[in-house]
Amino acid sequence: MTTYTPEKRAARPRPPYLALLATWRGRIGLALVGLVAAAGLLAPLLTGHDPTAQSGQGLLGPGAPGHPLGTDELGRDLLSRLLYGIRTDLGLIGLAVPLGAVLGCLAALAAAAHPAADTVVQRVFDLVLAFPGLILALLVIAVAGPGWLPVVLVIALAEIPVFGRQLRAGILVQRGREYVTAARVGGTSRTRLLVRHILPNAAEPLIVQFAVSLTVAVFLEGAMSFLGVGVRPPEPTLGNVLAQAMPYLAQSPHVAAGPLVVITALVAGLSLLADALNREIRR
Amino acid sequence: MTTTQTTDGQPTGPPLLEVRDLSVEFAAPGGGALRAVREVSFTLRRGETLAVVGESGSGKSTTALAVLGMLPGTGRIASGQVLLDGEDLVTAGPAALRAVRGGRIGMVFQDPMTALNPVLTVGRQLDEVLRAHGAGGRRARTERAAKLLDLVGVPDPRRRLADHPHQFSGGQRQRVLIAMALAGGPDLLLADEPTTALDATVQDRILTLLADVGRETGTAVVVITHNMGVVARSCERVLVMYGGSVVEDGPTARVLTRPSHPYTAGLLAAVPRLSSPSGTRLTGIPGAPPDLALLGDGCAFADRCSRALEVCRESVPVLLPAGHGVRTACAPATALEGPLYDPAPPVPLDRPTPGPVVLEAVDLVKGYRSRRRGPARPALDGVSLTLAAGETLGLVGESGSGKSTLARVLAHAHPADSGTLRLRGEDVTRPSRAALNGVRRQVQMVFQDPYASLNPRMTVGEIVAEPLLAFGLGDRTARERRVAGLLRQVGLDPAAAGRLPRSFSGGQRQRIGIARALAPEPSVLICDEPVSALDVSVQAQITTLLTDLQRELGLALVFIAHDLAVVRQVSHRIAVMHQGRIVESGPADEVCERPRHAYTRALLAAVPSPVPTGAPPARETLASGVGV
Repeated sequence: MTTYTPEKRAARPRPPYLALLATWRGRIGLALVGLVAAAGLLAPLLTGHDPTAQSGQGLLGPGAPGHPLGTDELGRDLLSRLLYGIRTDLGLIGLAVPLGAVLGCLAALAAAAHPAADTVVQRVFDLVLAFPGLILALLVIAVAGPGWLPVVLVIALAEIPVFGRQLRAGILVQRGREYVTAARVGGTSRTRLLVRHILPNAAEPLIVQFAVSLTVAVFLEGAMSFLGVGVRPPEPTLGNVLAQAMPYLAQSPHVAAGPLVVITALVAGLSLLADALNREIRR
Repeated sequence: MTTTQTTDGQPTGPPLLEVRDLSVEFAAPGGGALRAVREVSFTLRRGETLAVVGESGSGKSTTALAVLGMLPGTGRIASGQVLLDGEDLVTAGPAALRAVRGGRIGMVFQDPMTALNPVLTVGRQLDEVLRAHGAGGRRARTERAAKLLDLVGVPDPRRRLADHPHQFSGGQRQRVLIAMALAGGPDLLLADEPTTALDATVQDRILTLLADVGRETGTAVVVITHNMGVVARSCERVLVMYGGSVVEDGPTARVLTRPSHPYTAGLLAAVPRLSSPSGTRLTGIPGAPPDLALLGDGCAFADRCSRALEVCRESVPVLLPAGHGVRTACAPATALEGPLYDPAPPVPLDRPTPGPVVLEAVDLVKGYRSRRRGPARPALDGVSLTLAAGETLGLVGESGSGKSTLARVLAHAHPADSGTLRLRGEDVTRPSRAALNGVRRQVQMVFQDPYASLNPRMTVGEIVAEPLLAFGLGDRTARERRVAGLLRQVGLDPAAAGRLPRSFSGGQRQRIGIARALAPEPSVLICDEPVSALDVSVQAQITTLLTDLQRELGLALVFIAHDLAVVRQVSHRIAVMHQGRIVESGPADEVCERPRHAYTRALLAAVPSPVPTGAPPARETLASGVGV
């Protein structure tokens, strides 16, 4: 019998997150997100002002001495409010989205385990999805009151069905694949089948979903603060800095400019990253 | 450059389609370019039927798509011309190309199940094509649509226009697709593997239809296929492709009887013949089809060719006339005296006589719950069979006959609804959890699709070791040793254990699947269409491997396939399945030579033979039709 050595094929296996850096989408996305994140994390080094300290000089224009972006109506330094706002936002979404993802995946696993659990989980997902994000937010705030934790809860709650449904669909698709039957015929146990065969293959699209969800979370936080049901002022978030700028939009548009630019950069960067990841995974 | 080079005494007119030095490149993941088609040139006259044959990766479909300007993804035409009546389609704008597609060139796709929109009636879909090509008012279009359905042999065409695709069978859907391709009154019909997704008995009728349509409407037909039998049945000229280049081009009758390229000769020898008796060895071509990314200068076939010379590896061979209207891209072969292809007498395999019965099934019934209410026809309707140690039982039947369900029930992937399954005399129909593990060690399975049946995220070593781990056989080092041994046993380098399945070719992946199945030392191996997804030249390697393993290990094999010719050569006994029942069973040669059931006879008659026997009616009439 002849022996065939697998000939060397074109170098291919590289993880998608590394391949990202080879695409312009990935690079720009990563640069935008990195820039915003760095600004938020380095906030104490980049500005000497307390974001809630009032200087008594209201509505200074950009370029004022000591206040590069000017001040708001209460004389608070806009740059520090913006940078600390990013910090709060990153903390919120960095906690809420993984929480939603983990809970959603657990729900999907429960759904995969038994048909009865599947029905229950599916109907609960339907219920959550039936409310638009903001209505859901108002509902939660009505019960829990405004604040930092309710925002996290709202974002997590909105993301649970998104991740749950995607993973459940992935599990169902992979379960029908021939390699799963092959493993079953080969005597593989149910747990091992799920953990070793089905999950790794079903979970890949979730990486993309994660980036998309971060984008949605930025929006949701912004919208909640904007409506005054988010994190309580005076603590700055991107949303409430923007909300406070609204009454003075005509005479001092620069107050709104900062948060708008940052939110746009963050959302654009995350979307580009999600898109680049998606392209790499589907290759 | 005129058509004279390809025609020998046949009428020459200006060519309808002329492809000159066409090269197509895809962007490789590493950043380089992957050349899928290399300097392909051919011409096609009006009303001519041409077959493009080749295995996977030969560039046959890519060539067709390039002609239509429909290359997928990163594909682009790197050089060359595609002249349709003198107009270059490579440089044509999008509007001009759109007018050509569907209007002057019609296309028929491989899978009739997915190529029609399921929510629109067939009439609507035909109407859309007709409207796109400005075929008059509503009434006139309906009239024309009905005529087209009639032309492609759909009975009661006027009424069927209102039906949705799911109300048509697979063969009828392919007919509808052909009607859609013909709607614009094209000069050229491109059919990409038009019968691959269809059963043998249906395939026959579709091929006849394509030939008839070509004759009646004067449309030139290009059939792209990997099946030599299809070529022989439907086309007057054949273009053989390998590794992105044309290796041989000539009249079908000549190419199939006296091939002048070693690859064509090898491919012909590899096609299983229905006339070969049970227990003869299939011949194949050693090695695997080339990886286009690694193909350097020189003949793509040189690595697998027994006649390769030094010169073959140095420069790309060009097509040279080899007489009888044939052009061939092999200089050593044209210089050779005597035929390249010599159908050797069948070599009988030495097979031990089967031992005692291992597996016995009595009256197996298995139904799938249907979404709609009403009595569902069971997938298995009282199937009984026996299988002896060292014996191969061939199971044939068309799609939906219950072959795969039977395989899965036998392998305990699905439980049977009723009936009895005995393994060495012991009832194992509904084993307990502990007993199930014992049964699974004994009965293992090899799957059809070597791409889908291996977990893409596990290394080959992990895949093969999986059953060992599941059954708790040996510790880590013992498992590693066993995996290496298994890989060697199926003809793979043990170093393959550390790599992912995607770096292997189809044939090699199937070897991995076999190694996995052999890991727990089973006594029964259920092979569900193990060679259907493989190229013909590789098919023989896998069947030979299976028979060798059977001899060494005394395995009982169930060999499922839809290709009767392969099944006959491999099996001791054949069971023919139809609508969930075994309608006929007996010794392999007996069933093939003296079939008793009408269905078996129909299956046998539908097997397309690669040797043009006599003059098939379709070809004869076509040849005369061309002259007119």
